[in-house]
Amino acid sequence: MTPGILARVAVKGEYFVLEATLVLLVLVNATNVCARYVFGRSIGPLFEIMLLVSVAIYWLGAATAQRTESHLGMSYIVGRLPSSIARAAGLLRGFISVAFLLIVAYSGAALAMSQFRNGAISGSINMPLWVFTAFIPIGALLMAWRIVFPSRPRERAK
Amino acid sequence: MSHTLLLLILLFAMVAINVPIAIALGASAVLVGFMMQGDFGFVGTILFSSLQKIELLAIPFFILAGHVFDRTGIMFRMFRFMDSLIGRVRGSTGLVASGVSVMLGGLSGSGPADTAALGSTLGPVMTKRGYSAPFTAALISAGGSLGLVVPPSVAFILYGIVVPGISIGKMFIAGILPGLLMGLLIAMTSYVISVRRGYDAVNDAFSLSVCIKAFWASVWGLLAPLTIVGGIYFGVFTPTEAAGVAVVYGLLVGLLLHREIGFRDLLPLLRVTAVDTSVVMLIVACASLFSWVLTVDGTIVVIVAGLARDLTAEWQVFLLAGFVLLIAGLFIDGASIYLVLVPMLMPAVRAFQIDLTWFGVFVAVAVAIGQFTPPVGVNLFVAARILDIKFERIIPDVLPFIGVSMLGLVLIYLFPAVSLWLPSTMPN
Repeated sequence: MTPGILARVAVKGEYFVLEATLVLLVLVNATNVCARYVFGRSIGPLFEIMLLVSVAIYWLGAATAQRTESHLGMSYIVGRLPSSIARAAGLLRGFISVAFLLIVAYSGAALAMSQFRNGAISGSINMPLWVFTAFIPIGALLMAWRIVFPSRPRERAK
Repeated sequence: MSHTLLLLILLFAMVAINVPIAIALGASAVLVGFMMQGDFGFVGTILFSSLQKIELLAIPFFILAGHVFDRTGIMFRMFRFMDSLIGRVRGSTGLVASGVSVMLGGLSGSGPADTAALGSTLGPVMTKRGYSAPFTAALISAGGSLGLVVPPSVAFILYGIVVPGISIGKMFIAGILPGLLMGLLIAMTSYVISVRRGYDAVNDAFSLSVCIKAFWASVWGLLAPLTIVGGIYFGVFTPTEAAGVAVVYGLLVGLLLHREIGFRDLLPLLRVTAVDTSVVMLIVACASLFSWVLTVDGTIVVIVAGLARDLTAEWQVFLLAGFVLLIAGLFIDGASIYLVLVPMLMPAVRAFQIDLTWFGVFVAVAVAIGQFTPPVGVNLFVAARILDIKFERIIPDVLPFIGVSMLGLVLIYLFPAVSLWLPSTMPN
């Protein structure tokens, strides 16, 4: 399997996780609304599931947004600089972004490992917290990877 | 040098070289936080806990609802109905676009999402009817910003997070009349410009049968904002539940009644929603890091407390807030303004016992103006991309809309009842 095919499979997998988690969130929320009318109250653990699952979707989605270059920035000033200075600003921008994301990955991984070691679980459904926290370093590393190796415009458009 | 000053310098330097806003907030906070604490331990904990808020769950649902209502043709049917009513008036398409902006604001909650939906649906119609592309982009950018004021609004959810104890449902209801006021001002501006430039003289005669047909075709769409906002008003749904209901309602109408989409079409909607939501949430998470450093350093609290001491009247608090929010809106996005600047203003607001709902609406309108104010105005970028024109070409055409929106902001300050009357009638 060539690296290109591998990358495409990885992207499809990433999209699948994002789509599936969003569907799960919609279904769980709908169940909660129904429960409030059938049983007269919301199902607390369902809120906890939504909160934990949403962390995964946000961090993975942030990496996908990097792939499609959807993160908001202000290009007004850089767009008016001479090309050599704009290029230098671009390098500095990449360096700052990657350095920040590596720190996030390190700190997120440390938090996940400490939750794993301490057996930290969520309040009502007893799910291990590290499973969800792990998406912080995963998402951050994926974002950093995509800053260093940006996708081609044709792939971005897809 | 004070840590806060260094933090702000780093933030502006990074934003200036086009570092994504979220990363600029996070990177400046991590660097200064490390100088203060000596380690990075705080980063993971804050990033994890900042997103664990039930109120935030409404955001992906409202963004998804906006995409669903656009893709299922519900929005276009609303446009056709309003067009059948006033299509003979000169400049009618601009008026209709303003009306649809208000209605769409009642379905989705995000300015850029609404601008994208309006641009892709109404943009081609307007240019076909003779409107210039820059004017179309300007109108759509200003109309899209109403998503922040008309309920359900992501802005009010973020306000509920930074101002503990405020009811997001009440904020939603408070946004209805100001949203209508802003929509009216935008429509009037569009009408005046269209008449002056001779845009859009449709000659078809009024037809009651066409009007009734268009009404029936759009009835499910017209019922949607009533269901969502009415549900919140009467306490049937919480905002998060209402967001979920909006998605399910849109899907049922799109899949079963209008049949304009199939299950296969849902995947791209889910994908784009996940990306749009994550862009906002990364800003929320990184802004929490930024706010944490500001709070731990404490300089800003001292400055605001000093300012609050020097302020002698309520109008000065609004003037300060308006000035700070509008200037900030020129350079940074709405979510960052809410999470970083609004908490700084709150001590002064509380000191003068200003009604938090009234102030929340004032902030939402100020932030909404920032969404279509150059140089950053995110809605302008979205509209420019969708209508395929250069960003710079929109700037002259958007200035009148910025002007009338500022007038709206002043009116909202002068007449608090515009924001406070409807919430006061809500059943307990």
